[in-house]
Amino acid sequence: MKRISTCLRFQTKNMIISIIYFTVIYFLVSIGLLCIPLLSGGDITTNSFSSGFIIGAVFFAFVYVIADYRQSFNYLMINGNTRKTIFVSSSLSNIVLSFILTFLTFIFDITDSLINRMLAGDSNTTVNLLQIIYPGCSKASVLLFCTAMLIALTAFSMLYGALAYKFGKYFIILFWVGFGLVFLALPFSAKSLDIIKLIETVLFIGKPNGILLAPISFITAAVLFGTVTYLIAKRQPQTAPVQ
Amino acid sequence: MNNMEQMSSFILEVSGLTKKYRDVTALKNFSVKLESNKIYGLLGRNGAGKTTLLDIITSRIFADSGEVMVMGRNAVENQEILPCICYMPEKNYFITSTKVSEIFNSAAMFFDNFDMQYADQLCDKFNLDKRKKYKALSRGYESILRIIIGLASRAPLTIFDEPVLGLDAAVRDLFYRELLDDYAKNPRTLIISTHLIEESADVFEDVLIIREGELVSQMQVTDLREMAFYISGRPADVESAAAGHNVIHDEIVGNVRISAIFEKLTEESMRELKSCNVDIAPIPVQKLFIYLTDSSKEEKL
Repeated sequence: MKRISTCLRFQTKNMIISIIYFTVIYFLVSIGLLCIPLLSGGDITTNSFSSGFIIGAVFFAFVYVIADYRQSFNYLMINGNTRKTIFVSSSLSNIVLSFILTFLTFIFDITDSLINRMLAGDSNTTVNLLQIIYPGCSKASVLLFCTAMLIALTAFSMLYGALAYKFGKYFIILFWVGFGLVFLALPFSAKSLDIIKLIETVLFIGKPNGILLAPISFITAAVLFGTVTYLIAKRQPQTAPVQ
Repeated sequence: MNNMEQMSSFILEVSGLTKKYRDVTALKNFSVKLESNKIYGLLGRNGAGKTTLLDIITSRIFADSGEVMVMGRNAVENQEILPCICYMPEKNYFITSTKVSEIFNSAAMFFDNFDMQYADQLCDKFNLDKRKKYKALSRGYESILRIIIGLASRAPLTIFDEPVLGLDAAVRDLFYRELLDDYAKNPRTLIISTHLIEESADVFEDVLIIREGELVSQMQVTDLREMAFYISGRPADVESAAAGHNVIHDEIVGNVRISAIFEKLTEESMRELKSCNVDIAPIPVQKLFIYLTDSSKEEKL
């Protein structure tokens, strides 16, 4: 347990530095975008910054966990940690990452409301995608949804990282070619409607308290991804040094 | 940790290790026992299986069969044992964007005995700038960083794989002196895998020689030196002197025949040799290593 907490401390420290970079960059870009209408003398509309933040956070979390997987695995291994310890601490670190990003989303949401109130005199014009999908949902349920979604996403990223470590460039090429093909083929697929139906079912869209039930699907997916990752990582030789 | 160490007189016991990479057998039923508080040299030609052995000992890769016991306990993926082993491999597994000082800080988090003050002293001695990022270090300074972590970790089992790569003679000499000095103050078991045998032979107490995945020899350096000698002279004299002895190398240079003998001789045998009208000279350790690891002379060992 002491070892896991040491690994977690190490990973969290590196993660927080990256989150700070991401947040500062996002904040500066958002401020810049908000200032454009002011400078051009146009109307200040309620450009949401919090919805943008969660989208940015999703990309950040996905890329960060993938990039971190190899270097953390290698570095923690040479510092006398077992694969099991590394897996557990990495999973916990992903959960911490998800909570921090959700917390920042919450902060940006408040900031967004304040900016809207100051500039447009209205704090309720912010459009949140989840509030469209799940009408009438509370802010707390949005945060729960975001946390669970990020946990599932980071678990998937870790699985991607484990597969990329094991199979190298072959997996990466195959994954992205496959992803591209599926993405292109979706609109033409006769069964695309079924896919939408599947998404609705998994995310409990249209169901009462759907936003509170959707995290069950995310956590189930996270456990599934985590189990597969552990099965891959537990006998993974350390074969990929830093280039 | 000391309690665990007392459980076995050997800090490391490897038995029956076999590791195959597709068609190549890197280790063949390899067994060895290492005592506590000794400096071991691990010698072998390229591809002999040295790094594979070290990787298995430290659980970085898994053996196909066999057992690795450290301090009397199974070391494979053992979270209580692995922190007692500090392994500085030849390849880079550090995070290249981090500063040297951060690497030391994290080493101190993971190795209980890590001596930061000693690491700082070594940085000064080796002229390593702690503010530099890993990726800004030259090959030589990368080696120095590994050396400092390995020495300052004070791990009960410290393993260096090719620690002096890219280092000039003066820095190598400083490393050997620091190693011996710190070892005298803080005895522990060190395994050093190297190709620079002649200069590092004085550091080792015992050497392990690996050839094609098998342990060819494990003995004290002093014994190794005593057992190895050249006899040279007229071909007929050398031939008769060498008869019945373990000749590991033979060559003719002009009119002189030189045979390398590797055998523990009694005083009487030595007197007999000297009476054969041949010159007797010691074999440099580097040369001896070449002869012992020459696979074409396998039957001689």
